[in-house]
Amino acid sequence: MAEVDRISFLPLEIKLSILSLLRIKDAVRTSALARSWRHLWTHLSCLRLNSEQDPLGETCNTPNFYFVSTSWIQRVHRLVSSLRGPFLVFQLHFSRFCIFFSHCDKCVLVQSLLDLLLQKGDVETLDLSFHNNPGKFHLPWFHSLQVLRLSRCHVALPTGFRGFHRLEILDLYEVEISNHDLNLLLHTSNNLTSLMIRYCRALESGNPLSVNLSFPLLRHLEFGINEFVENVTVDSSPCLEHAAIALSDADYSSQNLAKMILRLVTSVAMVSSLKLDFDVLKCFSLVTLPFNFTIPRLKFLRVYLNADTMDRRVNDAFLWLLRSVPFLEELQVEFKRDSFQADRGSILVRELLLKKHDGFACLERTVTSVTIYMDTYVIASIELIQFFLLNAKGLKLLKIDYFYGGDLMPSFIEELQKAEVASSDAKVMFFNRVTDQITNLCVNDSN
Amino acid sequence: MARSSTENMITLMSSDGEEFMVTEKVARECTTIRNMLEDDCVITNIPLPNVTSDILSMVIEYCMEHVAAAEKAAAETAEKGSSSAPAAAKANKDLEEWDKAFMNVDVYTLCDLILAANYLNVSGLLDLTIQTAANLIKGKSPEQIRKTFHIQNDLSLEEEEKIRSQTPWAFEKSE
Repeated sequence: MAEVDRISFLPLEIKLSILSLLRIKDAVRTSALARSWRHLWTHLSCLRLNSEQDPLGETCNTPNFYFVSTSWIQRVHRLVSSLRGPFLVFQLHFSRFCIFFSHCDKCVLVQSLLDLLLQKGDVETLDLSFHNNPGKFHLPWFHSLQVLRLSRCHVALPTGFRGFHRLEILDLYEVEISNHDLNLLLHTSNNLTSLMIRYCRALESGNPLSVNLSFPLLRHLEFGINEFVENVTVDSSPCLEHAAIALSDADYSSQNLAKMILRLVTSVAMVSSLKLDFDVLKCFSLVTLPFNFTIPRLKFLRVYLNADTMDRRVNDAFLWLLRSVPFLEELQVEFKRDSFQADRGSILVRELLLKKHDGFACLERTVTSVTIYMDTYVIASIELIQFFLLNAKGLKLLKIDYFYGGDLMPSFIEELQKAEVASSDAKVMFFNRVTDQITNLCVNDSN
Repeated sequence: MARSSTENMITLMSSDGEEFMVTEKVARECTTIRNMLEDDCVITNIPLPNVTSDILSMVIEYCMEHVAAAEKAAAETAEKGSSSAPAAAKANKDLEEWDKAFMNVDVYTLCDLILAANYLNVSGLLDLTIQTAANLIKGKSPEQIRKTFHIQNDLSLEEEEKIRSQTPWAFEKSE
C-alpha cells in the first residue's frame, strides 16, 4: 500500500498550492516527473522571483552587473511567456544593485514585462522592488489589482486611467511619481484599507508632493516624509486605526515642515495605535504645541528619541505627547544615539525627567507596559527608565530591549535598584538582543 | 448565547463507521463542520464519508492541540492583563515543535491528511501538510521526488530529454 502514488492524484488546485510554496526552479523541475506533471507548473498563478535566489539560468558573478540584470529580466520574460496566467501574485525583487544596458533598455525591458502580464490576463497583487531605479515605466491598467507594492522605481499611470477600483493595499517606497498621478491614484482608490507612502518624490515636475487623504475604509496609514513632501492631510477616514508617521532626510529645522507634520498628527487623532518615527518629535520642538490636544482612543504609542538631539524642547514635546494620550496602555520608546560622545543634552534631560510629574493621566491609570529600545551607547542612560518607574503607577512590565555584547554594568543595576518606584507590580526586564538573554530585576527589593 | 459552547459534544463519524466524540469547540476548528453547525445548530451527529477513522483521529488530535494552545494563551493574557511577548513566543515555538513532530508521517498518510484538511477546511492543517509536501520536493532531483512519492515515470527517454532541454536552468545542480 505504501508504494502507491497518491500525490499525482491530488486535486489540481492542491498540487498547485504545493508548487506555489516552492522556488520557481523547484516548481519547474517537477515537469520531468511524469506526463501528468509536465505542464502543471504552467498553471502557477503566484510567481515570486528574486534576482539572487532565482537566477533562472547562469549565476553570473561577473562585475558586469548590467548584463546580469538585463538578461535576467529577459529570462523572467520568457518564463512568464510559458505561464498561462492570469496571476494572483506577481512579485519581482532585485536584491542587489543593477545597472541596465542603456537608458532606453531599462524602461523597455520592465515595460514589456508588465505589458506581457496584462496580455496574460491580469494581476491581483503586483509587487516590484528594485534595488535602484530602473527608469520610468507605465503601470498597465490591471483591472483586478488589489495590492500594489512598488519600491525604488519611477512610475506613471496609463493614459485614460480611471482607477484601480479594487485596490485595497497601496505601498509606495522611494517611488518617483508625479503629483498628478499620485493624486489620481489616491482619489480613484476608494476601497483602500492600507496605505503606505514612504519617502516618495516627484522629481520630474519639480513640485513637491502634496496629497489629501480621504478614504472611507482606510485602517492603516504609514507616511514617510522627506524633503520632497510639501503637504499631507487626512480627512474623513473614519475607520483609521493605525497610523505611522516618519520624518527622515528632511530639514527638520523648517517651521513649515513642523507645522505640516503637527497638522497631520492632529488629523489622525482617531487612531488607537500611533508610531512617530525618527525626527518627528524633534521637529515638534519647533512649533507651539496645542494645549488641549488629545488622542482619546490611543492604546499603543511608539516614539523615537535621539539622545544626540535631545534637549529641553524635544523633552517637552515628548511630555506633551504623553499628556495627550489619556488612555494609553502600551508605550514603546526607541532611544538611539548616533555619536559616541557623551552629550550635553542628557544632563538637562536628566533633571527634567528625574522628578515626579503631574498631569499624566495615562501614567496614573492605564499604562501597564513600557518597552525601551536602546543601543549599545545608551544603555547607561538611566533617566528614561527611572522616569517611568517614578511616574507610572499601573506599570506591570518595563522592558529594556538593548543591543549590547557584554553583561549589564553592575553600577547600572545598582543605581536602578535605588530608584523610587510608583507601582508595586512593576517588573523590570532586560532583554539582550545580541545574546537573546533575559535578566529580571526586582526594583522593589530595596524598599 | 450565555451557555458555554465547550460543554456541547459532537459526534463525528468516519467513512468506516467509527464514532468520535469531540467538544463543539474542537469540531469548529473544521470550517466545513462550523458551517454545518451554524446552518443547523441542533445537529450533534455528523457523518464524514470522505475521511477514514485513522485520518480523522489525527485531524482531531491536531485540532485539540491547537484549541488547547489557543485557550492557554487566552488564559495567560486574561490573567496578566497583557500578553508577555517572550511567553507567547515560547508557546508558539512549542506548538511549532508539536506540528513538526506531528508531520513525521509517511507520504501516503500525508496525502490523506492533505485531502482531509482540504475537505474539512482546517486551514492550519492544510497549510502545514502542504508545506511538508513542498519540503519533500525542495532541492530534490526528479528521480529523488519520484522515489519519495512513488511516482511512475511514464515519459519516454526522448520526452524527458526534451522537457529538460526546454528549461535547462531548472535541472542544474544548485550549489
